[in-house]
Amino acid sequence: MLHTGSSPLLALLRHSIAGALLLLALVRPLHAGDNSPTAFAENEVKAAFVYNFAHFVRWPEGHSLRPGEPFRYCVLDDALAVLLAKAVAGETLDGHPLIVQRQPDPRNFQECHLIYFGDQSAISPGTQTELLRRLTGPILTVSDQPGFAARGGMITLTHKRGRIHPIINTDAIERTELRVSAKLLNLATLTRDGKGSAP
Amino acid sequence: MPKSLAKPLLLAALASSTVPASADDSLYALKQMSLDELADLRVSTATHRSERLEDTAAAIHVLTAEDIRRSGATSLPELLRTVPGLNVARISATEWAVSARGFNNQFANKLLVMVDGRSVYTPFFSGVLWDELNIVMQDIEHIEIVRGPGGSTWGANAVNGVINIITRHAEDTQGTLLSVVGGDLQSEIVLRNGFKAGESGHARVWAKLHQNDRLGGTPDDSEDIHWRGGRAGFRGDWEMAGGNLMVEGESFRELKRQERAYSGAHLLGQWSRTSDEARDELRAYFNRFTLDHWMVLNNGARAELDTFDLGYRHHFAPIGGHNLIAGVGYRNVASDAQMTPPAGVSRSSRTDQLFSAFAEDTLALAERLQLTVGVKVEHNEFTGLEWQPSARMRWTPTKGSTVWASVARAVRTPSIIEDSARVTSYIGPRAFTNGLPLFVNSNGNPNLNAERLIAYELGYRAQVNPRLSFDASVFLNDYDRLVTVDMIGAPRLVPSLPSPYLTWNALAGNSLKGKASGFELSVDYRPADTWRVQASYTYLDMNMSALPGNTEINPLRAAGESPAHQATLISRHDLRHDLELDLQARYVSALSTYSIPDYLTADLRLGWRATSRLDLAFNGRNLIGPARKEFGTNLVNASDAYLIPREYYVTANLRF
Repeated sequence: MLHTGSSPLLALLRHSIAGALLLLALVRPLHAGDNSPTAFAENEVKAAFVYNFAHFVRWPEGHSLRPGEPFRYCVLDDALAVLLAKAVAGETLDGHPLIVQRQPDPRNFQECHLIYFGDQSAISPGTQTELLRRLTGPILTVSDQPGFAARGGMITLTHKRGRIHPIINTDAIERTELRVSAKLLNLATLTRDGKGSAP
Repeated sequence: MPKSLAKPLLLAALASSTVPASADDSLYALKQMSLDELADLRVSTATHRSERLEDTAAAIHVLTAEDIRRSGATSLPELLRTVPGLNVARISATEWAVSARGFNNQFANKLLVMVDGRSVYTPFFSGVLWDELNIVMQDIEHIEIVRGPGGSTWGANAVNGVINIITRHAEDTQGTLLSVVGGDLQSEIVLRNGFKAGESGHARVWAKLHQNDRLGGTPDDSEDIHWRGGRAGFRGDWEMAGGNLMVEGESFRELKRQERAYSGAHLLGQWSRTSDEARDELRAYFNRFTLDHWMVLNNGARAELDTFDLGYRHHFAPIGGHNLIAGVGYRNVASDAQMTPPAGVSRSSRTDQLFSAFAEDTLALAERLQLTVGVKVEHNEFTGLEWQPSARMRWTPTKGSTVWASVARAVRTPSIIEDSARVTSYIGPRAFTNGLPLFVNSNGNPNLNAERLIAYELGYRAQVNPRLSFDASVFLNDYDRLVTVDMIGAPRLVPSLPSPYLTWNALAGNSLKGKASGFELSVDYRPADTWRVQASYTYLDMNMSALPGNTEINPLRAAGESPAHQATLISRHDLRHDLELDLQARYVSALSTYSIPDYLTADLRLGWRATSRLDLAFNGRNLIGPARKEFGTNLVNASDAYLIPREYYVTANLRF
């Protein structure tokens, strides 16, 4: 018979685990326990998405992102700007420091690499459509407002079954030199100019 | 992007609630998550029961849709090769042996596999027909793989592991997908359409056709044959009355001429409702599976199994320090099985009922220490009452690191074949038969006991920094009453001319016990935002010992059917925003039972996102070394297995 049995180490392990668990099973809970699970606020998850977009979209080298210059997130949403600023603190992207500009003047939008239109942005939908139309060059536009894609915006963060879900207007992206990674395209719902922000 | 081990899980029962986090903590955690993980996080204010991998006291691995896509795999077993600690060996175009922690075999029977909660483990012979399970890979949302027992949650046959395949919500598959695979050994076409179904719902319909060509001939030049199949199905998801209703169904036929033909259909409905911190889940399905024709060890079989399954579970809102989940289940399997004489099934027509109930409580023993105790009690018609308890402890000494330990009992219940079939196996000339061919007539035994396992596990996982994480587990599995084929008396000479042979009668028994121990290590490292490397090593040591009454021909063969050493290296590199290079290399040590030497091989994939709506991938598999056998079939040698050759194929996915 080839039976050699288990090693003494494993036998010891087995007995100690069994002993520890048995002991613990006999112990009553020490206290009611703070059992509240990790809660992620909606804005935090949105901030994490926006933070990530810089990594999953490619900006053309050259005029818009010169060596050593910072990568600018322009955020028209006070709450999100605070969270995003915390997220990017000390981080870089291919050697470019990441910075967050809160409520920048629309006249300076051309300096942004990413613009986030939040709920608090005091820009009317009509003005927004006009602004988006006037933006030229590789600037990623993101928002959580319904109908953003239909107004020419690129990425809309929507709610889907209690989760945050990106919708990408591929027509808006393709009008620029921005290139979205395969990973992000696979995850998102793709839409086109004519289709509004559905589904 | 840095990616943590954290993954939202549906394995609610294995997970425990998490420690609270401050706003800065949660932002830090979110930053470390991948896009997939972010998109999978629930943010509603109603419930935040986000079970995460790092919170689970078990050896668990999750394959995300992204992992599945980048594996390039066109079948489940080929995909499972990328999972640390699983052993996958291909036998032929249609057959694979898949197991965890030992006991791998063409009829590996200690791994429970489910698709959306529907068991695809067949009670006919105890095991999974992977060629039946040819589901649309693009529809998989994620796959949870647990190494180690899951009996206290999932019931019998979750002995060495559980594989839980979760398909995508219909809302996630809107629009049209046309997917094509073409290569030197396989071709496939999938057409899927997703649409809105009413005000509050979504649906999809799909159809898939495939053909897998024969693999290389064996040394004696017998040839494998084509395998073809097709399937069509639907899934709908609706939000109504404060809950979610999911209905899915599929019908399929898989055909390998002269060897096997399967057909089947299922319809599954699931109602779930989450309110405050509590959750209800009600699931019912009907599954018809027909082996229109099946050849196993030269015995022809035909079987039809109609399964009806009903299950309910309730996740209670936390009470005091307790987090309780409880559930009940009922399953009815009406089967009709025939085998070609001289093989046969003594109880060819039968109805087997299974009643089950389970409860599980997670309690906080201290701020960072949690204990989960659970038990599942089942009554089945083969062995009566079976109980499967478990105790799991989780300690999180620091943020991002977890130490866990568990003790669990699990059982495998006998199959219809083990219970009541008479099967003839050709063993061939052996030393002890004086060169004469031997036929073994093995008989099922209705008095069999369930196989029994007591498993001890210890694990540690840590997120060392945003770019580096690792996972280690050690286990000792103590098996008893393993099912055996015990020989009765002596072989009898049949003096037929010109070729006399021996026959030997055998009866199924429970006369083997043994221990399997080992450890599994895996590392996940991101050298750059565009590069991820995963490496794993698995060690396994099996010591079987025959109990009195064991008169098997090769009683200790299981130890030589699973490799002692396995290592994998996976590299996923984004060369450009639209170009992906993926490498999957694996080393598998020798299998003494089948005299199969160790091997090293690798797969490569080059993925190209041609446009935002079209992606292409070029795949090469088994790129190192010559065609080789990976396993055997007839219990004593590899003569019926095929050489697994190098293979090339292109995949294209068009969305419109």
